[in-house]
Amino acid sequence: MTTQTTLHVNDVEPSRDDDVLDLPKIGSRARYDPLMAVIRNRVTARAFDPDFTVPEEHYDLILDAARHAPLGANSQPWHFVVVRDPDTKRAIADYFVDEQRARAKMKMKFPTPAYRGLATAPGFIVVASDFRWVQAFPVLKNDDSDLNRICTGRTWSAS
Amino acid sequence: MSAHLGAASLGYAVWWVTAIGQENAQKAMKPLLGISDELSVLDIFAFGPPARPPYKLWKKSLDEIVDHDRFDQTHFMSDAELEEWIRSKRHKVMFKDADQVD
Repeated sequence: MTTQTTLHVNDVEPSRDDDVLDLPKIGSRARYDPLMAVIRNRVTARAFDPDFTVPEEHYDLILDAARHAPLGANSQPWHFVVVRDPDTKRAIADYFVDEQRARAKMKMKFPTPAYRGLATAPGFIVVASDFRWVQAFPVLKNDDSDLNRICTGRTWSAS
Repeated sequence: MSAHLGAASLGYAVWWVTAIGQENAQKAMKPLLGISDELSVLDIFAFGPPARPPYKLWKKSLDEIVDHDRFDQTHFMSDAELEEWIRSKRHKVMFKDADQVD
């Protein structure tokens, strides 16, 4: 089966229009290479420069990427809460620090990072899901299959 | 992951903190954020300029993880091997780069 694709003059800039698919020619690396540059160089940090202010448009750019992520049954049960208030950030960081201490006391041998740094994150987005959207999934047999376990137990994977 | 890549493409370091399966996390965060009972907090997505220079974490090579047509049994870890790996290596691979994993 072949997929009809159109080679566009501007092969790197994805379309801003939600309704239009702008696929590259199969095998074209015009998008793969810059994408890999992002993927390969993505790094995790657990402490940030707290004095940095995230420009408003960056939240839009990042969340625009988030909402295009694939999702089971395209259910899109997600809500994104952009947290700017330092007190709220600190309170959430406090929870994770307390949780980590509780786990340490239980002697769970799990290497957990230092959660205190969470409060320093200039960009802070809480992702919430409405699990009532599970109903959007096809009906599953009530058995112990992997599929049933994933859909009724662990449910969504975050994007 | 899309959000991760979006932020990374803008030059930010990122941190994904999960709250899935933590009942206490729900109790702690929902009132702070005014999130309804029907919803669940899944994750915190944090990003910004890193406080310290970041480094690239090691990644397994394709040879170690990719098979063709049939799963390669030499890639399978026995329970004992896995336990040993978790005991001796796990903490290192989470926080260090490949050169420092002995």
